[in-house]
Amino acid sequence: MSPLPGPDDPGRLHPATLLLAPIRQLGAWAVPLVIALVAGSRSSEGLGGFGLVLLVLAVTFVGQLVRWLRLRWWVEDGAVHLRTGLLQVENRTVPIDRIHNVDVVEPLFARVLGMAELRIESAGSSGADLSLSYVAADAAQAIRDALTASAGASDELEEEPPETTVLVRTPTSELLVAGATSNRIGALAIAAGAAVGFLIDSGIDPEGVLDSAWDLVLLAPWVAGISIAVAAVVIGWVVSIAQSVLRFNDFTLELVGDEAHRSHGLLTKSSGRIPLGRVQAVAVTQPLLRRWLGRSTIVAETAGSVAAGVDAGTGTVSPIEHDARVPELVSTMLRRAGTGNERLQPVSRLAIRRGFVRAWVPLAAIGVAGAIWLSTWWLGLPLGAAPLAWWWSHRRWVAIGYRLEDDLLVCRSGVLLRRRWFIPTAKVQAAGTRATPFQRRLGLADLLVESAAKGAATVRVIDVEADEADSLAERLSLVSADTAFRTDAV
Amino acid sequence: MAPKSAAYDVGMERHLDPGIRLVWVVSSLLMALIPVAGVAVAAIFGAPTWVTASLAAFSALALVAAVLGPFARYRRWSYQLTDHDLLVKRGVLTRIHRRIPRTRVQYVDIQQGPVERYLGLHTLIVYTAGAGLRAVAVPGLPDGVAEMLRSELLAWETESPETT
Repeated sequence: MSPLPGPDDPGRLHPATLLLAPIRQLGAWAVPLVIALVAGSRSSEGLGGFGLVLLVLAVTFVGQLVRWLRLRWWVEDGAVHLRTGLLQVENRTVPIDRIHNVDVVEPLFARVLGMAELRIESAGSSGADLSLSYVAADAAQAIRDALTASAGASDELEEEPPETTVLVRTPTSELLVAGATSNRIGALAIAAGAAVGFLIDSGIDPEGVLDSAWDLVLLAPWVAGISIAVAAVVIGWVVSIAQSVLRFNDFTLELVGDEAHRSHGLLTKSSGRIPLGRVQAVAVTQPLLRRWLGRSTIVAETAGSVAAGVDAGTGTVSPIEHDARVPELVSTMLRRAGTGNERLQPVSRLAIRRGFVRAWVPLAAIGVAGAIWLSTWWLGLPLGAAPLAWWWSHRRWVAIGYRLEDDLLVCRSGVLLRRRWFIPTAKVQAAGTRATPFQRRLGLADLLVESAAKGAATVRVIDVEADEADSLAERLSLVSADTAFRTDAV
Repeated sequence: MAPKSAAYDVGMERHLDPGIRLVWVVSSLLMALIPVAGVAVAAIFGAPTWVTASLAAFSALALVAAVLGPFARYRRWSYQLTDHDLLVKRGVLTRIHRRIPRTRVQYVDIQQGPVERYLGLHTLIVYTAGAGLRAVAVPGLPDGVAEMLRSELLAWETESPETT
């Protein structure tokens, strides 16, 4: 029996969905509810507040009931149909052969009630996606199997199940490393630094601060500031590590035939499938700390609507991976033989000059302005910053690289957050160049490559020699035009 | 004049119809009216002289730019349909070249604004499957050319790759 409901017998959501929204509301209202109850024991107005909370819950429940009663979904003529709404009826249709990805997500509460959310992503705008929250957990798996089977291999005969290879299994220790090395630490450090500066520079309104603590701040502002900064970093670190473990606990990626199956999560369990033919680009990302530790994050982008990034988790190939295994995983995801780890071509050395000018000129302007209006010592700023700006723009130049092969474009950039894009030339949607007046003076141009992947909508290789950029764009366009006769181009 | 042959002349770099300058001048003059209106408001409500004067100077600049800008843009705008892609070159200060492989064209729109209608010009909009449906617009196409370009761009499907 097919798990997909037909037009005569449309499917509904799981009845327990009705309970979930009021439970969520109850969670949100817990604090006012408790206050109302405590106050209610003393006065009659408090009871009124309690009644109000009950009313909100009731309204939520009725709203959910109407949604549940009106929602129908079914499969007809090779497409998934969804109809919702009481006054304004919305019909949504997603052709099955356009489905790129089917995710099953099980948030904690839903899991307790034996339910899961089914997310169906397809190519095209975000309106082309469809979510069923919630259906029975085992039904969700079966629906996904049925949808992906008819999406991928409708013309193939039923054979023995394809062999399964485990590509990635991330141990918890690695997830701790991932959390500890995510770039949020950098942001938090900056925030903490700002907090220190704020504390030292300004007289803070002492109201609301414990007297003893304030005395300490007055006595030793540096000590207090630094301890606050350290505390912020430590807390941020712990939160980041916890998030990483919660999201990617037990991360497993398996290769099943021509699909990558992914599952992970501690409280909210998430699993999804990436048809390899639908991969538009693969991104290998390294925040600075992770690069020092020889680890990378790998994300495969499909043309679905979910934006890039590990946070969404949708296309994650590996949340954290030893650099040595990266080439193998990238080539598996792109279904190609090459390792994808050959040397990249550097861009013009004039890029260093441009980077330096861009970093240094604002500082020089501040220095000159300071020297005119404040003190001559301000001239020290551009002088002192010059070597630093040069070093920075040199690092930036070293990071930039590209290589164009017949079937693959590789681009790399970024100092603090280094990212490598692997874009199959068959998935390139448009290519071009862009040159500002400054670049033209130096005979440089940016190479622009557009793809259908959200995170790689436009990938730039900056400061390539202008002729080279033009011929690269032309070659990309030519290769893309020639390979697009395949049906899996998007 | 638009070529009268059925097949579009492939491979030649083409400029837009000169009439597009008028279309651009009209639309940028409309934008330039905003600071001009600002001057009027400042004068009516008796703003300090320096405010009115600087607004007036800015309006004058905007008006000059509105008239001269389109001429510079026109000089830099060109398009070229090759065997395998549509190449669009534009940009006065920052020069942009964009190539849309023919096989990547998802669909093609033809638009006509009021001024364009008066001048008999069309804008061709080519959509790819790029994230967020990226489009490239070729304005200033005379009657017939836009349609011909469109059918040429959509023709690849019927051609077998060997014939090219």
